[in-house]
Amino acid sequence: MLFNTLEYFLFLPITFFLYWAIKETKYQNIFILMSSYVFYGWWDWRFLFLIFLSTVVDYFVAMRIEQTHKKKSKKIYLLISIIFNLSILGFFKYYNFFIDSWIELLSKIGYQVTDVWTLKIILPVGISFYTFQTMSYSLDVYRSKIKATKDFISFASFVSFFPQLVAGPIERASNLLPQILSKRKFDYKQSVNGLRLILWGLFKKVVIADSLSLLVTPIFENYTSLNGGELLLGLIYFSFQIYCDFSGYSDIAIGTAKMFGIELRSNFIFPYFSRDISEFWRRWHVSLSSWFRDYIYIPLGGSKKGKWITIRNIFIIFIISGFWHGANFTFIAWGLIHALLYLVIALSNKNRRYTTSIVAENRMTPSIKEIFQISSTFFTVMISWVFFRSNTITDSFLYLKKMMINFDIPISYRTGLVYVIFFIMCDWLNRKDERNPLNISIVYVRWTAYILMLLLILGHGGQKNEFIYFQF
Amino acid sequence: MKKFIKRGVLFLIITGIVSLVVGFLSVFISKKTFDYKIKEKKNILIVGNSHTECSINDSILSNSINLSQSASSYFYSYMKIREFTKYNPQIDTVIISFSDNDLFSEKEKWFSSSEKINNKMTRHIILFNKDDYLDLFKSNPIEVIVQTFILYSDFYNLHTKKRDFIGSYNKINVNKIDEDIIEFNRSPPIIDSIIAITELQYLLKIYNFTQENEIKLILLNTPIHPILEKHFSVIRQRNCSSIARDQMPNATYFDHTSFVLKNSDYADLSHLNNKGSNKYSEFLQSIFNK
Repeated sequence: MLFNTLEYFLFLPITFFLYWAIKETKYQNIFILMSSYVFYGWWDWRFLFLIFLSTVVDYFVAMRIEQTHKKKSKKIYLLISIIFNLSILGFFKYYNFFIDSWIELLSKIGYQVTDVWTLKIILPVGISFYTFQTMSYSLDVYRSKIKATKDFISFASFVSFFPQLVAGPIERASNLLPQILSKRKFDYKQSVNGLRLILWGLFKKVVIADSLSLLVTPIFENYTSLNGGELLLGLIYFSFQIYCDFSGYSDIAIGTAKMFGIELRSNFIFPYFSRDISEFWRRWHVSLSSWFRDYIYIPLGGSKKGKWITIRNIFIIFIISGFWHGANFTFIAWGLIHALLYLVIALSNKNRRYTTSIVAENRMTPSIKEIFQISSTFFTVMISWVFFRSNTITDSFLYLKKMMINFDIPISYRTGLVYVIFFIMCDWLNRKDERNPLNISIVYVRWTAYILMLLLILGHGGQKNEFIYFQF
Repeated sequence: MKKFIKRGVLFLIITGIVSLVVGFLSVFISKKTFDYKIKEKKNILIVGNSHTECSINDSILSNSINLSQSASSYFYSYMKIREFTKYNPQIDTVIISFSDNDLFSEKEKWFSSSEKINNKMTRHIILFNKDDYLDLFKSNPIEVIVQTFILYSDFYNLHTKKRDFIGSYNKINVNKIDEDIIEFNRSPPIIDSIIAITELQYLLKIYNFTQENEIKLILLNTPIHPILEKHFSVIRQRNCSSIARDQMPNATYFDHTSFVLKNSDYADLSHLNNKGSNKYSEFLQSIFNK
């Protein structure tokens, strides 16, 4: 079920009212579990068994890890969880990629493979998200950061909690599980705030991202026949399309969870206002980047074991991050570019300059220096998006080459700038609190803004485009 | 919770009223400002679906205007004919796409499916009258109500793309005929012999309208690739020829499905690309010259 469909707008209020009509936490959790399975099964019920299997494996593995006292046995159980989750992820997401790459490699050294080994595998929606979520649970129990739960229903609700099941934020058991286990009470303010986030998320997805996608697709498909200015516009549009699409999904997920009395982690904290690439990675897809930091980068030694180990670790997490996004060399190239950009700043020890505050926190406008920093960071991030969007690495280079050599004033595709400029203005005004958009103090102005936004969402809503991150 | 429900309902009611007011206002403005008037010398109106949309280049077939649009039900073609002939009395000929494909039972969906209403209703809203609205409402009330709340959604497109937004000649540059032939051989399309009743009703409504207004109606079966032409030949004879002959005796039926073209002239098995459409439009011009 997509968030931007009529089905979801029937599903959400029905689930919401039934949920609050139930008084006992135990039954609320059973209801959440059932609703989440209906939500996921709406897309393809056959893949429900994968979520169930992943839930069962990690539930029992975590219990065994906690019960056993031998370190070696704990490690074995943890390995079972990791191997199981990575195997289903590997099979459904990467099997064909490895087979195709192997056939290509063999053909390059003179062996022609005539039998086709590839399988017609459907990528189960959200597999990259929920496998990471369940794995983090077993890892946290292994590190004694949390206790393994005996309540299977609550654990299954944690794994399949429908607002964040298919595209995150990737939750940690330490944050979500205690909320699921404890009693929840309806809170007017929290629910209104949730609805506001849903409205803002839908606006970003349906009005901004989907409108830009109508321009991005023809530009990337016909890049050979367009001038450099138009290609630059295509890149700017894609940068905002992917941001509004994915952060819009996260806002809807966080907003929906709030309506059910649950607080999810923030996933996007105004990344395009970052002053350097390290700040960008603390603000972009936070739940994934912090996952890689906590479960890969730090266990590998982080930046504490010398320069060469730091360099190795940075490359490892960015390449894995690229590969997590998809089975294509373009994503690996995208990860590599970010590794190089991050490396420059990490080796000069400037990667922790902007860890807490947002740009121009107590001012209306940024300084000249900040404008330069934001623009240069955005520009480098934008260039890397070419690799993310193009079908092949060759296409990416040709796109960039054409953009630079054949630069001219764009003749067509200029309408998207209206959406981009309008969105930047809104995001700038919101920038102090990503979890509280549209918080206008005058009631009439606030309600007018809500109504206008809803009219725009409904008016733009005919396409029902899937969220980009569903494919990951 | 009570406060939440109260405020939520109030918000939805206000939004609903505002959207209806904005919607009706935008339709009123669009109807007043839409340019229905075509050039005086243009006396041939072309309507229908993607077949005529891709096949007839109206800059080659002189004195014609192509308002066809892909996946258009005869319901929308009927409205186009009715409204455009009202403002353009010089129109004395209507060409409409007419193939076995248009009358498949599957094509019932072109009128009543939510997907099609979603795509077509607000786009054509300026052509609607009360009866059209009620007919569509009876076929799919929920979707029509949903669309009624967003009547304003194509206001911008109608004002910027103007007449092209409801139909125009579609110049296609691609050619994917080789892939389509492979696909055809792998799984040939199903031959559906059941007639789409609603589509036929609206086609007959078009026929009656043109008869009453002394307009020449040409039922046009545009060129398709020979393998598709052969595949559907029996059903074409049974459906198109007999329907044209028995139910629309005063209409002219042109079966150009076997018009000879090269593989490079097709966009796919059932549509022409710009090369093919230019050749075919010149051929049609020669017919009209005679």
